[in-house]
Amino acid sequence: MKKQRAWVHLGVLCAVSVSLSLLEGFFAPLLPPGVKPGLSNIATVLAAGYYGVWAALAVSLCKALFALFVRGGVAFAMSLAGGVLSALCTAALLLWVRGRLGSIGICVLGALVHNAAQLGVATLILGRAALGYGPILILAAVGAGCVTGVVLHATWRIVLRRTKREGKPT
Amino acid sequence: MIKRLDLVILAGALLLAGLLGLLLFQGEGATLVVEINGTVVEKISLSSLQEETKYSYETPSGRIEILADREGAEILSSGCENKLCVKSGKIKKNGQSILCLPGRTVLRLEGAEEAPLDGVTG
Repeated sequence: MKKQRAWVHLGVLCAVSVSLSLLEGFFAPLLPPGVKPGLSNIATVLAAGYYGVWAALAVSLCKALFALFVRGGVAFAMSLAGGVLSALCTAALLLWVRGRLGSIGICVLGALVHNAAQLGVATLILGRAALGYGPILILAAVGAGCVTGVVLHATWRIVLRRTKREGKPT
Repeated sequence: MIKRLDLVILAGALLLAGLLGLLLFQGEGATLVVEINGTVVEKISLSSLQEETKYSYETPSGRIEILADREGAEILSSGCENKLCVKSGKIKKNGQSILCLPGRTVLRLEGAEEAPLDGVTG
C-alpha cells in the first residue's frame, strides 16, 4: 500500500511539474527573454524532500521529455541539463545542510545551478558568446529562487499537515 | 523560510552578477560579428554604417533579418519558433550578444581592437 502511494505521489508531482512549466509560458511575455520563474522546480524540491534524489530526478526527466515532445531536441537538452543538475543540488542540500538553509536559499541555489547548466549547454551549441548571458541568468536565478522559495515554504507546510509526516526542510 | 546563510547566498549571487556584468560589458561595441553554426559569416564595422542597414542570413531555422546602425544591432525577424532573439532587443555594448539557439546563430559586439582568435568557437 505504501509503495503504491509513493508511485501515485510521484505521478502527481510529475503532472504538477509539467503543468507548472506550461503555466510559466503565460508569464514569458512579461519577463526578459529566456527568463522563467521556475515554478515547476517546486515539484522537484518536494520530490527531493519527500522521496529523495531518485524521485527528484524522475520528475526532472518527465519535464524534459515533455519539453522534447512539445518544443524539440534543443529544449530537451536544456531542460534535462538544468533539471538534473538542480535536482542533484537540491537533494544534496536537503541531505547535508537542511537546518542552516531556508527554503529561499535552497531554491536560489537550485536555480543558480539550473541556469549554469543551461548556460553550459548553450555554450556547447553556440560557443563562447553565450557566456554574455551569465549576469542576466544569475539575476534571474535570484529572482526566481525567491519566488519559488516562498511558494515552496507555503506548499511544504500544507503537504506536511495533510500527510502528517515528520521532517521538513525549512 | 529565510535564514542568515540564505542572505549570504543572495548577496553573493548579486555581487557575482554585478562583477561579471562590469567585466564583460565594457565600452561601446564597435564591430558586429555574425556567427552561424559556429562559423563567422560576417563582421560589420558599425562606425562605417551611414544609416540603418538591414542584413539577411539563412540559418538552420529559417531566414533571419538583422538591423544594424552606428549604435548597435537587433534582430528584426527570425524563422525560429520562440523568437527569443527578436525579443532580446538591441545590443549596444561591447561583449553583449543575442543568441538564437534553434538557428545556431550568435550576434555579438566586439570592441575596436580585434583579437584574431575571437572568431574561433568550440
